[in-house]
Amino acid sequence: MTPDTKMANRPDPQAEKTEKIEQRPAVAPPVDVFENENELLVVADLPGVAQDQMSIHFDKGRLTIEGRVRQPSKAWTARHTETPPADYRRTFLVPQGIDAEHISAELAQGVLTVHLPKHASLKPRKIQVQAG
Amino acid sequence: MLTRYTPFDRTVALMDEWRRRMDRAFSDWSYPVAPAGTFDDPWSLSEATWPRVNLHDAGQGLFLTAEVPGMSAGDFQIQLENDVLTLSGERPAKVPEGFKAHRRERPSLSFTRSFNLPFKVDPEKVAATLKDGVLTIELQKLPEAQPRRIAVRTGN
Repeated sequence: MTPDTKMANRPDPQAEKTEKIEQRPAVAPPVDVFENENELLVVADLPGVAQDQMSIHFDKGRLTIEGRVRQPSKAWTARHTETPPADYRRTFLVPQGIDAEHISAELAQGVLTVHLPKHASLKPRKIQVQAG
Repeated sequence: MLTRYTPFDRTVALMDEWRRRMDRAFSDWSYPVAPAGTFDDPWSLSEATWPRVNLHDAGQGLFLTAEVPGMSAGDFQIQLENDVLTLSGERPAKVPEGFKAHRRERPSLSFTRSFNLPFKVDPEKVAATLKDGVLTIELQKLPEAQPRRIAVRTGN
């Protein structure tokens, strides 16, 4: 037991184990949006984000992509910096008719590709004309 | 000689200070003075600064990291000539086959950037790795450029 009576001054045994939450600002990554008859495609540049640091939510018609950027080693001294010490976050309003169940995404070489497939009812279809 | 500091003098001093601040307002935007060409100096970077590059000093070596999303290892050319490192390459960002574009923010570009390294580096020991769209070039300082500890002896 520590002699200190103030709770705040006592050493926290969990302090070493728990990871400190770092609140960093977020910047919007540059994005391309493409469409064909089957799906919408969102392509974003997220350099420095590993696959397990990436999260994508789809909620109430909003698609949010978030990526935590790997920070340089603490042992290094910055000589020249051109990138902000920030993570990536961007939210899109997704039009109706997207099949939320089948949204998929892949991350390769710092480029995220999100596939937003359209509902089958919205896809163009060819109507056969039958002979009467 | 001592002079009395009147309210009038104070007003003039305030106006003087205001004028000095206005003169400085656009020359040094962020305080304290930010080195040109870095993130802290927002006027010197533009969308055309591609790729964004950071240089880190690790004592024995230097690490240059460049954000190059969408490029693969074969797309780069790295040259070291004396203390000048040149990085060039091409980043394709094409519209996929059969798609039409709604929004294009990712440029398709070819680039060349040269960096004057602050230390002499060993040209034999340069290693470059590409991971998650970040190119890291590791350079080793030459022995004469490495930091060394100097022991202080006590005099008799």
